[in-house]
Amino acid sequence: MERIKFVIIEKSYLIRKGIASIINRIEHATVVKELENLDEINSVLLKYTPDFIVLNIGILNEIGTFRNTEIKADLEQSGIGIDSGNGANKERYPGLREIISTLDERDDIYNKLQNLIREKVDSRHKLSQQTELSEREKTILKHVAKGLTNKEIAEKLFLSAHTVITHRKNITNKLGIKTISGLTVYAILNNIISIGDLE
Amino acid sequence: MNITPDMKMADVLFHNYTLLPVVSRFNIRLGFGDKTVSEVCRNSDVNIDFFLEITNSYVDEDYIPQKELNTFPVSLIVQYLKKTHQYYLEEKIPEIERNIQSVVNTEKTINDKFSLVENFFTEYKQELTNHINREETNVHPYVLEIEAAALRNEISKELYSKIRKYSINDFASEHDNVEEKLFDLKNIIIKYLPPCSSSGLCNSILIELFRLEKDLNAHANLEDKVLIPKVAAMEEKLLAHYKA
Repeated sequence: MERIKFVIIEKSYLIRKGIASIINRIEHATVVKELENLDEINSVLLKYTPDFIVLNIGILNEIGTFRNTEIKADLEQSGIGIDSGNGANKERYPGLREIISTLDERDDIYNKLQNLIREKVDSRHKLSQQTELSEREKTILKHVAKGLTNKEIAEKLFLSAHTVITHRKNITNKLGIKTISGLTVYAILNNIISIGDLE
Repeated sequence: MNITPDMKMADVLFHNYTLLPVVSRFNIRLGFGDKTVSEVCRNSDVNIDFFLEITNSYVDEDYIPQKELNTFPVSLIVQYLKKTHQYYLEEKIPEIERNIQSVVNTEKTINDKFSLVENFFTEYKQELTNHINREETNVHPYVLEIEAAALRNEISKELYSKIRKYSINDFASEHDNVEEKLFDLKNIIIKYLPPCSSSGLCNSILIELFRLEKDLNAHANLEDKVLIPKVAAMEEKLLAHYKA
């Protein structure tokens, strides 16, 4: 199974490396990118499509004024805050999935991360059990096969790019096909698109 | 079970026939009699440490390269990688291509569908070729240059800025994806294509795809676990030397 991907956004080198080494030690999990700040966040999200974003809660305020609203919606599902101060709680940061404090005990950190990862693995597993594509997914697949980017598909179907990415992940999990050319072949074989449409 | 210098070469191959193409890459020919691995390597002028690293990691994906064995020069690794590239482009890929072609020619009822596979494979071949070309024209000369500098223990200003601009870790982060297409292709043939009437031909395409995939994985492992850390360590030493 494809591993659960993490992006870490944390200015402190020590904390960043510390969290990364913990995550990389957990089964099914891997850190795909470490960032010091939000500068490259948009391109990183598009490139790596992480399952979780670990970020210092200090950066949250910046996101508040951040133009990209998609990351905000995303964080409720995938955001893990790092509290390097004196202990925050989830209630104070309702926009996040989980909070880790640098004062947490070893076991606490592992448990929090492991629970999140396990949930993700389970839900993926469930998805891979169902193989029938929904109508929505077929529509998206059709556009993917035609060579449209996530952004173009989003505009066409009036969805957010994030939703398109989620659909694409689900399609890949259901079919076991990752590449665009592979998806195109599948779409033709199953009459979701005809060769003529590709010209 | 790890392959060791005192094992008989013939036994090594009896246990792991998938090593056959690997052994050929070292220009080692069959007909070993009862000679041990170390004897065969000596006779064929092959660096035994390197041979053991390559064969062990090929047979066992979780094999961790032995630090103390890691003394062989980068040029050896590059030479081996080149041989592997040759094997892909000159043997494996054309072989699979021919088989796909025969299915398209013989299976009249499904040949329109199978020609999708043919196109897909042509695309894959192009990608693999580009990937290999990039390695041979950019990465290999670069790592050889790093090694030469590390041996002399001197670093020029040009090399310094080169490392700063494009280090081996940048190569590592760009280096993936050729496996994904191959995986999809197997999946499509096994799960989604209508069955061929000549199942033998389809099976041999699949078997070759599985073998190619295994070989590519071993190839990537050699780059990721041996070559890249080795070059990265040299880069680091050179950079430190430059600053000093």
